[in-house]
Amino acid sequence: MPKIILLVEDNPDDEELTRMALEQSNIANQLVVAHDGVEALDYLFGTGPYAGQSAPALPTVVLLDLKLPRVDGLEVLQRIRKEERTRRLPVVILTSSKEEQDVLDSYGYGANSYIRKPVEFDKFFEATRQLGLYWLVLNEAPPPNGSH
Amino acid sequence: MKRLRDLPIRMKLLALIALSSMLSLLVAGAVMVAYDLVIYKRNSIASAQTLGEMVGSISSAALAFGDRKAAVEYLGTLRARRDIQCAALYTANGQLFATYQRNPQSSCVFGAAQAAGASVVDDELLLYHGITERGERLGTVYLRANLDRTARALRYAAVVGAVLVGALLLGLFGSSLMRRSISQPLMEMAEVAQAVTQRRDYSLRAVKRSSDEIGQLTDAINQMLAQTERSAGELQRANERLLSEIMEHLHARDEVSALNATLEQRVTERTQQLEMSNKELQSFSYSVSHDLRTPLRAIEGFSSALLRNHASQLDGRGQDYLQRVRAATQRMSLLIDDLLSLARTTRAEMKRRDIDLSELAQKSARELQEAHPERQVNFIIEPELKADADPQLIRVVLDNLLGNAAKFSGKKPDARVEFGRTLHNGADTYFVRDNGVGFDMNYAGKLFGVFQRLHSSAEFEGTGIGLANVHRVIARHGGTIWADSEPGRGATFFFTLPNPSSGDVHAEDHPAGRGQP
Repeated sequence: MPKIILLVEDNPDDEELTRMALEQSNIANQLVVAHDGVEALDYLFGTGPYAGQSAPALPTVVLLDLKLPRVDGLEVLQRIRKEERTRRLPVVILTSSKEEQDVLDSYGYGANSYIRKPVEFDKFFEATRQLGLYWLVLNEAPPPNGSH
Repeated sequence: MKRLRDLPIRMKLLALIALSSMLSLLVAGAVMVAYDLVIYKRNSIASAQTLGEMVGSISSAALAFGDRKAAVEYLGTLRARRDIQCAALYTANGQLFATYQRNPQSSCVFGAAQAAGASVVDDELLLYHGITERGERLGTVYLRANLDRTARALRYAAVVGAVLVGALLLGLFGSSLMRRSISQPLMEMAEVAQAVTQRRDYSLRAVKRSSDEIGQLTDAINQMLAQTERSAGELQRANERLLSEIMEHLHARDEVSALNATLEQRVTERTQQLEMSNKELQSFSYSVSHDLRTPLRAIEGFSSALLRNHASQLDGRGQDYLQRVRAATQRMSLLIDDLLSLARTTRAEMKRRDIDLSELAQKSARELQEAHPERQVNFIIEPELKADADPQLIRVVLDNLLGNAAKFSGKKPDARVEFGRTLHNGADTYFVRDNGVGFDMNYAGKLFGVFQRLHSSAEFEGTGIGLANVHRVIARHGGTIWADSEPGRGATFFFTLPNPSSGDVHAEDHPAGRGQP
């Protein structure tokens, strides 16, 4: 089963840059993109457009932006941590700001990692590469039907 | 019964007068009666003797001639004297010759004639008087007179009683006079005293009616009242002053609390306004942090992708332009970071505590060396420098000052950056010294302004925000910062961090000095 990356990102440029960085890092996983919080939650919980089907497979990691239309990143994170199904899902905050409050809140709500998108593409590329490598290859994901 | 001492003075005086006058009258009356009775007795005896002589004289012929009828007739003339109860004529040899009895109740007893003389027996005067004519004794006259001294004494007693009653009436009259002159003024004084006590009206005065002791007493009381009135007046005025002072005080207090309330309200309003603008600033920085960086990242990322993946389709000039685009976006990114840092140092809450400046400086130097491995800078940091400051804000100061020092000396082969402490005007002063390019002191005034730079970007990169940020942090700690330099001979930045508890801090945002103080 291919490992899925869920990228929650509203900016098409950032989406493209991330996709490019992942491709060039030879991380050939399926990239699912949600363009706001609602889409992300629909995908994760099988609601909205995903309703009726058998619930889509959970991603291996969620790359979550904070500033999102409709439902913002922190709320998505809270919902993920509240649901039994997604409680242990690795969530990496990938965002532009490094405001102290954002970092504190993200970890407070149970983010596994917080990465500030560097402006410099070389650094962004490196960060994305390391991120993919770590969460998809090195890290042992929690078993999908694991009990407490 | 009321005791004597509780009686009104008037009654006491009346009693005194009555008692003394009655006593004197009684004594005088008794003496007079006694004396009168003695005189009366003597006079009665003398009068009886005269009468006896007279009777003897007129009856001598009747005796001499044995004319009883004439003798009885003569004796009968005694009827004119009511006191004579019995009378008798005796012959020379003592034979009863004629008798007289005033009335049957007189119960006269005519015994034998006795020798001449008078005697008083049982309030009756008995008189025997010898009748002689030319030395020859003719007989004896006997008279019995009723002295009636009891009646006389009673009459006297009645007179004395009447006098006593009169005296008593006189006494009452005198007492009423006295009442006017003694009791009345005393009563008035008592009333005045009572009125003063009850109404606290010290302007009342007792009326002076005489110059005697009571008058003096009235004067004394009036003087006392006048004195009391003055004292009470002064007391009253003092009270009024005190009251008005208290009222003023209360009024002032009300005003102060009203002002305080207004002030509090204004402070609350201002605080709300400040909080609002702080929030706005915060959301502004947040937006800047997120939204300004995102397009930059796109510009940078796609320029980079072009260079990386499509370089073959661009000539050298095109590639150069793309490099310039990348450099510009990176500067823009740095600018945004610095501006956000400036905003943060301005609004961040200060949390002062004892910190180790040397340790912070070491950390900062280490990070600088890691970030710029191309520079060969020798950091010399004095150990054990402590200060009472906010560690996060002080990191901004040290990062900037040490970073600048390294930047402006980094091109030299023997670059040296020093951090230490010295005394300036008796105050602990920290300094960061380098042996770099330095600057012209003529432009020292521009050092700490935002976007002010003394070197070109081509020479040394920078945004012109770092020192403005440093200045703000030092100012928020109540300290001052200044610099000393000479082109080509390095620069030294001095700053102070006064201890807030030692009282030499004026205000949090006390403006830090610029250039040399």
